Amino acid sequence: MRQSLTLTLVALAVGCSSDAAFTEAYDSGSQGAASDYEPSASTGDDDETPPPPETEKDFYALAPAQTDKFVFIANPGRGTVTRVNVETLAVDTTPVGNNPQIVLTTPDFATAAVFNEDDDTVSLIDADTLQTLTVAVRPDLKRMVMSPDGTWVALWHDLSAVDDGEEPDGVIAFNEVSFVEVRTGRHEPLAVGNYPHGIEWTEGLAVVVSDESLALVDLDAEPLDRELVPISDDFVDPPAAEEVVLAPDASYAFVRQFGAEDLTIVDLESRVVSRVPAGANPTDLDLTVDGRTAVLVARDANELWLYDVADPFADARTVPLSDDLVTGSVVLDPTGKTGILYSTAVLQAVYAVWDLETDTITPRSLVKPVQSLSVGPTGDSLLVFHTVDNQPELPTSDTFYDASALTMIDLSDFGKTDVYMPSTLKGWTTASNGEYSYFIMEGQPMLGVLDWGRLMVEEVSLSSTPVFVGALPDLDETDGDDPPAWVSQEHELGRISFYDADSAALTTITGFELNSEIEVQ
Amino acid sequence: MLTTLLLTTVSAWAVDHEVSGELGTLRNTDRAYDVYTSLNAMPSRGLGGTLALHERVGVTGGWHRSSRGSELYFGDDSPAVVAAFYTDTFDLGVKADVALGDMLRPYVQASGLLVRGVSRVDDDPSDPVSVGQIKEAGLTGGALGLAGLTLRISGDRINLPLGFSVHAGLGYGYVGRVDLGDLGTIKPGGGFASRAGLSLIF
Amino acid sequence: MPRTVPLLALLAGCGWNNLPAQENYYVDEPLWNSTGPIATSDGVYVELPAADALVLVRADGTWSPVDVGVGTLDRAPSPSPDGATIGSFITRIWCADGEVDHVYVEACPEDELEQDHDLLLIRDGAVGATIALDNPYNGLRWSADGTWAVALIEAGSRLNNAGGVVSLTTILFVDVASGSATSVPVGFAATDVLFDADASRAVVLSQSEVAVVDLTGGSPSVAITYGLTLDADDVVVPVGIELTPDGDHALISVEGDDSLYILDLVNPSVNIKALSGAPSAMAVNLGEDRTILVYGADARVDIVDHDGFDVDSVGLDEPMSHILDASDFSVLWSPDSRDVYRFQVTEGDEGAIAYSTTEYRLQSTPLSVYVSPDEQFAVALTAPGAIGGRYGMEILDLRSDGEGGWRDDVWPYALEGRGLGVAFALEGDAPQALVLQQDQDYVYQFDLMSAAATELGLSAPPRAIGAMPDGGFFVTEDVNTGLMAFLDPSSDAVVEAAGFATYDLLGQDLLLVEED
Repeated sequence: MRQSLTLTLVALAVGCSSDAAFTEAYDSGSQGAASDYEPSASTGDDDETPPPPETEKDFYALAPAQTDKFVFIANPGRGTVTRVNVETLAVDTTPVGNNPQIVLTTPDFATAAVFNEDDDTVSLIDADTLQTLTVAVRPDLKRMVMSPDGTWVALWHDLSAVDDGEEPDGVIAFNEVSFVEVRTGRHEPLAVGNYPHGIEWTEGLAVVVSDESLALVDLDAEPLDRELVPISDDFVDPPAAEEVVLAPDASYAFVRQFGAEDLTIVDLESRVVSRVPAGANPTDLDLTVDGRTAVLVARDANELWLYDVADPFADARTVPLSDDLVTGSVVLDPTGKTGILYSTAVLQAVYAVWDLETDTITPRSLVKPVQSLSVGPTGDSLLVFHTVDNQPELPTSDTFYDASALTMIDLSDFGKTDVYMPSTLKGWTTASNGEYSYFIMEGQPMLGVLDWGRLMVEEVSLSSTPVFVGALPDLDETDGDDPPAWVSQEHELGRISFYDADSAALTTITGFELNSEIEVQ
Repeated sequence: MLTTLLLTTVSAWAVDHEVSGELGTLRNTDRAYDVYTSLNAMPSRGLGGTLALHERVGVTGGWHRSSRGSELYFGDDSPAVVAAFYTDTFDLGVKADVALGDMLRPYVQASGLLVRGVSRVDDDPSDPVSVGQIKEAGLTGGALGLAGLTLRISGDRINLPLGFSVHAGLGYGYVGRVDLGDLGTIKPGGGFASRAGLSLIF
Repeated sequence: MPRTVPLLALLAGCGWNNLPAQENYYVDEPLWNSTGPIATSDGVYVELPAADALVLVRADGTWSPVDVGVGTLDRAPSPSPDGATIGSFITRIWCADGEVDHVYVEACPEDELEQDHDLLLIRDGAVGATIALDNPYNGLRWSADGTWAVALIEAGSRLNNAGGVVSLTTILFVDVASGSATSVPVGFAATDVLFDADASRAVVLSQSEVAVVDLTGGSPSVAITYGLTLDADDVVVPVGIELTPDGDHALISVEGDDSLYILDLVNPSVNIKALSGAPSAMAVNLGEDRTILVYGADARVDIVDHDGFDVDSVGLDEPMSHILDASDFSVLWSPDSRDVYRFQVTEGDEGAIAYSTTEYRLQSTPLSVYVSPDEQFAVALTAPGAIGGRYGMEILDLRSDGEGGWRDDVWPYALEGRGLGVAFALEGDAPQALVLQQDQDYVYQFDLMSAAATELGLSAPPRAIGAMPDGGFFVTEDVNTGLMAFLDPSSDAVVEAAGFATYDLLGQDLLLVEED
């Protein structure tokens, strides 16, 4: 069957920036595609039916792979990866293994790691020379992530990445993780807890998260050493470990478990597991930018619980939240001054601004309920993507009734622009300098450009419907030149466009998958 | 005047002096000849004569003319070119016969041939002078051998100064190849030959 | 004696007045190819299809056959762009039964008939080189400097009479100077070959594939192969190709598709641009370093720059299907439209690109259009229509109007017959158009500046006109035995050569060559 560039399975991994704020913003949703909002979310008024868990965009792990000047695109149907030089538009294609699904690039932009799902291999590609080293990993793995410093990639059988109806093929173990050292290609397979669903990284340590345990992997040991730390007392049906946050100094791991009334704290040095009280139904956990405070949202208690990371066993400071809204999630801006409080579990067209210095909570209205939101890398902007479902009070005659929408909010003066979208969100990204955001929609051959300077939106026509969108990092923010955004599109032979916001120029390359058919004698 | 001279000098010989008008044919299977006709022969008409030197032998000579041609069509049905081929054959030889009574004279004849072949190609036959007229000619030689029968009625029988005869002969002729310049070459004859004619004898 | 004279005259036959024509004889092919002569510096080569012969007709009125040997000329000869060489394919038949007496094909048992195919390179009226072919090639493509010739099998060829197994994926590169030949494997059914300016490489179009052949090594070899499709079921047939002036990119249009494939020949990669539709014509405008495309069913012209290969589109009033290239502008026309356009790309002081379109409205639709070498005028030969129901000739003024724009004047004329062709000459500074008309036995010489006209008489109506390398012209005339006139417009001198079409009229049957 012909592989089109719908490429819903094509992984274009994000180019990792070493900017911690950018990383945090990524975790909070600054890049990614629209989530599947569960239509059964309640309005919050029905006491008998509690609101569902908050949703985050974690399946946006299939992000584009980019360096400072290249974009890497996997071609699953042909077992190749195409590298496009954004400056010269030179296109090179190199063979990798069968069915490459995920491409990730190191933060130094030197290497691209490609997961070849059908081969059970990882291809480590030199970004400049395209020299490739192929490493065999454990079979039937589904997910690959990279450590923030780019030293390791880790792969595991992530159940959430398994297609509906896909049946296991052969013998599969669900507690295996393959670690591959990017520089040398050294492969270290490890058995961790059952059904791992995430990995958190810190200096010299990887924490593999399963519901019943954390696997602490010493990355400095050779061979890698791992230790299992149980985090649940219920070994039969442990609660889901929804979120794990590591202290920057690798002293503690904070684990938020579904339905728990406390916060699990693991001493990463002594391996001691402790629990401290948390508010009713904690639904979100984040660290402040300075890494000193862990912020827990207790949705049912309508409170924020703030823990000192250095001394998490001290009493947490609570911040009461406004009764005007249900708060289930928090996003902290990169400057550390502001937090955005909202919920994706109820249909409420409101959010709140939390001043971290004064603990002032200020509710503000939105045009529609929140599907996801993101604070810009400079902390000046807030981008909100709304649900199609309506808040109860929205009249049927309203322009946004049953429509997709987004809102641009200037956090300095809270000026905002509500934007009607003809179709649901498919993907978005924000330039690392925060001047522009870009979004694409389902079935719409256009690129949306959000100009944060003017708080305006522009529409750029594309030749075919888009699949993924990304923006190259701006390595020199003083040169006045914004690096282009790119958007891959549906085309049986491959199509990608580069948009330069400075000149409003769109350049498109089509047919790059044919480069795999080029034979140089 | 020549006829009177012949009559007064040789009236006593068995081989008659004669002057005849003839029709003839010579087989021609050359592929080049197909351009002009689908016949594998060159029908001709001409004149001949015999000068008796002996009771049974005489010298023969004559001239025959053959002309065949075709309208050449190229793809469509409109005639485009007419191509014609002529030969003028001059023969000189000897003839011998025997008398079977007064009227029948079987004979044999052998002659050397000089043949001039001419081909004309005309793009527009309706125009007597045009730039599309091509003519090529060439000479060659050959030989002819015939055997036949003469039926004669002498002048004495009919109380006339001249008699009449009818002759017909079959045999073989050979003609060399004629070079017709840029048109190519053609071999104007080779094979079965025949000649028949009506003569005045004296 | 007086009685014998008429008798002798009758018996001797007449002259040209009464040629015998007792029968009809059918020839499958014409005696000569009157519309396809090839002018070279040696003279004009004329193919004689019926005789399988080739003759060289010279401007002094003489002619001579080219000794190609016994065989069948497969197709009309192909001239090299430099006019020095012509290439001709010939098939030689021989009998493999060992008998030496066979002369005609029919004499050989059918299962013993064998064929050899040769390529003849002809110069100076003689065969300069004979290249034995291992494949029944029947098409030639040339480099611009005439140093390379490429033999291929033309698309749609019937191979019924070709002996042996035929390779459909090879073409033959011939070094014209040395006569050496190299088979090069390319894709299936190669259709066209384009050489770059210095003939260092050639780009070969095949079905779903493009090959770049390096000509700088000892022998030609494939350097790069580009696939045009990823799915074997999806057949891509390239129909048009142009090379950018720098030779770094090849622009390829495909049959029935609006994609323009841009092949980077330096850093091998493929980029596809979407056009407004499947183009009818494509041409590289060297002056402005852009490629122009027109669409027979869409009233627009697309312009592709050669830097980023961005496609700009300019609307027209009516669709155009043909492009004539001038030095820095293009003339667009269509046999279905009375519009003709002068299309120009200009670059301003600050790099701004502007397109100027000058529309010319003809009285009738054009059958053919010609641009004078000085590019001041164009001549359109038109169909019967508004011009009194007669075929026409319309003169288009392409000159500047002196105010930054272009004139749009058209001067229509009614011809006596259908316009067959136009050639251009120069008398002093005045461009002259030499116009042929069907069934009219003269060449109409028209001064494009002054509109003065003269008639150069011919012996017969013309068929075609062509330019000689020395500036003269030849006109083939409608005489089946062959007639060609050589004109010198400066002196009005006309020299005719006749009769060459009857060469080897009697040698039409296939002859066997002796087995080597």
